[in-house]
Amino acid sequence: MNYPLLPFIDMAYLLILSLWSILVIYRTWLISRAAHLHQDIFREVGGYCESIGFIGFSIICNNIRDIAHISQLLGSTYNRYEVILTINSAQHPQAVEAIIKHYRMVSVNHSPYREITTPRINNLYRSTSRVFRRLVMVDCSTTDYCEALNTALSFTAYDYIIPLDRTLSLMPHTIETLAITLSDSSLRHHELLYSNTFARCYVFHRDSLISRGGFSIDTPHLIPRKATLCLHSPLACIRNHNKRLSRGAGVVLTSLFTISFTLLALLLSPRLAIATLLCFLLLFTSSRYIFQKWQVENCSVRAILCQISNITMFFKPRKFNIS
Amino acid sequence: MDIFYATYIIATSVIILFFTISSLQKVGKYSTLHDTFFSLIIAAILHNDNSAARLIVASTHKQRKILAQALHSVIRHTYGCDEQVIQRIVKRNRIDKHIVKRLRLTPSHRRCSLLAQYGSLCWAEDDSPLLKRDLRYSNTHIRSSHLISSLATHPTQAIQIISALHTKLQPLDIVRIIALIRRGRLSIIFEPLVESTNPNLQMLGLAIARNFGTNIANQQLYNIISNCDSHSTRDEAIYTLIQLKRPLRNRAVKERLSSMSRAKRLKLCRHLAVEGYSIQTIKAIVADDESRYAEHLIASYKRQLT
Repeated sequence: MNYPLLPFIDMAYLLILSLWSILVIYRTWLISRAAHLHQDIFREVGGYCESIGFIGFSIICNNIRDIAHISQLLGSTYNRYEVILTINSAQHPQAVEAIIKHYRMVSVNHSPYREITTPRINNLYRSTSRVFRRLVMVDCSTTDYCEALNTALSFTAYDYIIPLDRTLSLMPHTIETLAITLSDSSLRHHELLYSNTFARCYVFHRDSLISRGGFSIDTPHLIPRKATLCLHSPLACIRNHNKRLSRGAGVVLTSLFTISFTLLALLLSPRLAIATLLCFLLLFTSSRYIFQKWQVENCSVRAILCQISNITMFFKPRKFNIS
Repeated sequence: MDIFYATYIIATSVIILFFTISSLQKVGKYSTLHDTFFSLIIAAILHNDNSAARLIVASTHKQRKILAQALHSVIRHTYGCDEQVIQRIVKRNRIDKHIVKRLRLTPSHRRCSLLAQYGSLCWAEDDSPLLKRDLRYSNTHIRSSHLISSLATHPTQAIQIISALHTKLQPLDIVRIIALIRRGRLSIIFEPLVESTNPNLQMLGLAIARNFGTNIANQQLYNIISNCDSHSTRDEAIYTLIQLKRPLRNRAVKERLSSMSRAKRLKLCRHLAVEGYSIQTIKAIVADDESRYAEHLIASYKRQLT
């Protein structure tokens, strides 16, 4: 059977594949160039940038209960930096107890002055150990992550806010990389910095975030495009809770996705099936190449999948979601 | 259609092949050699020994490149106590010539690390490989690397080089200059800088006072706050006073704070809370509403613990 529209469909499909491949290659080039620059500059400055131009960062975390994860967040040597945890003690009493015991925390006073509306705060904890002076824990009775983040936001002291949750962990030297980036005064007017490399991570300017009413599901869309800046350096990566499960699920999912797309293309023509297969191969190899450039070894399939989804995402996500 | 298809297939295959070969390369291919050089250099410095320095031999281009990186890493961590041994290794292996040759051949966007190596390993005052166009380059990191190399190779002309800059010194530049001072490559006294009318020199003077805890700088800082025309320099002077934990109940500070925007004053209140100032001090310099904000920060959790 001869369909008159078939050559045009073939052509359009091939054009879409080509465009997609070009965009993936362009993004891979940008990320690998950022890796080169990071290696050059960070080796120079990283060892002694205790504080650059009074730039400070507050990491606000919702529902992080793993002590190893909290310790990893507290590991940065940058001077102007703090970690604020929000947790609901009614939901996770054992986790709260474990954190209090591990970091030798005590309940401290909290006054009602708030720049934004927040849910009721049950308790505020701070470590008695000087080693963990950067850690603050807020016990609030909310299950909504935006409300929990707003509660943490009201206790922040520094100019830039990095929201995280338990699925994400910071890349090594993220804080120093951000400080070096923001030391360029021409970039200071940006209200939002984000990176889609490895995992999606946002950095908000505190004052502008508060003037926009704090966190909501539309937050990134409320900020005008000219006030946002996309960074190609990875800021955060996906945490691996169950390596074997995520690896197995990842391989099955990826194979299914690739095979179904190739079969769909095979319905049009075998040549397009080969082109589709090559396009998927390009995605995998580019992701591996980026991980190698950033010297990330033994990354999970889940992390590669996340990178693939981010590298092929050419539009902003509709809703604000940390993970 | 056929040509387009063939082009797509060939181009994609070539790129996939490139990505695959690059990914298969071991991440730390030359890290063992780097580590060996590093430990040999440290041993030579420890014993101040010529025979240990003689063991460090780089004969090929790649080995020289790795030795240059290892020497640069050592210099960054030893604060300049070791220059004679390092100079001996550099001269013996002709590392300086190697860096100059690479600098002449490398395009602008890849010059950052080479410029840094040139600044730390080449002692001869030859600025021919430092290209003037680097200073005009839009990439701030290359401009910064060029400036640092110029300062490291011409330490006696540091003030002239900085005062001749047409652009404002960025915080990253200042951090790198402070590192040079700590390593003993530059010797600058803060007093003439703080009293200078050049904003770049003033900023550098304030950074030196801050980083080296110069408590005798009070009067100069108050003078900048009351007399300087530049808002950013005046703000920097206030932050320097706070960093040095100096008293803030001065008329000049109060006047400057009253002319600031509310957002800036709130930011300053947060900074004061982090630095451990008492609520009485804050109440004396800012309005009631802002002092209540600072009180919330201090009383809630900032300085409640002993």
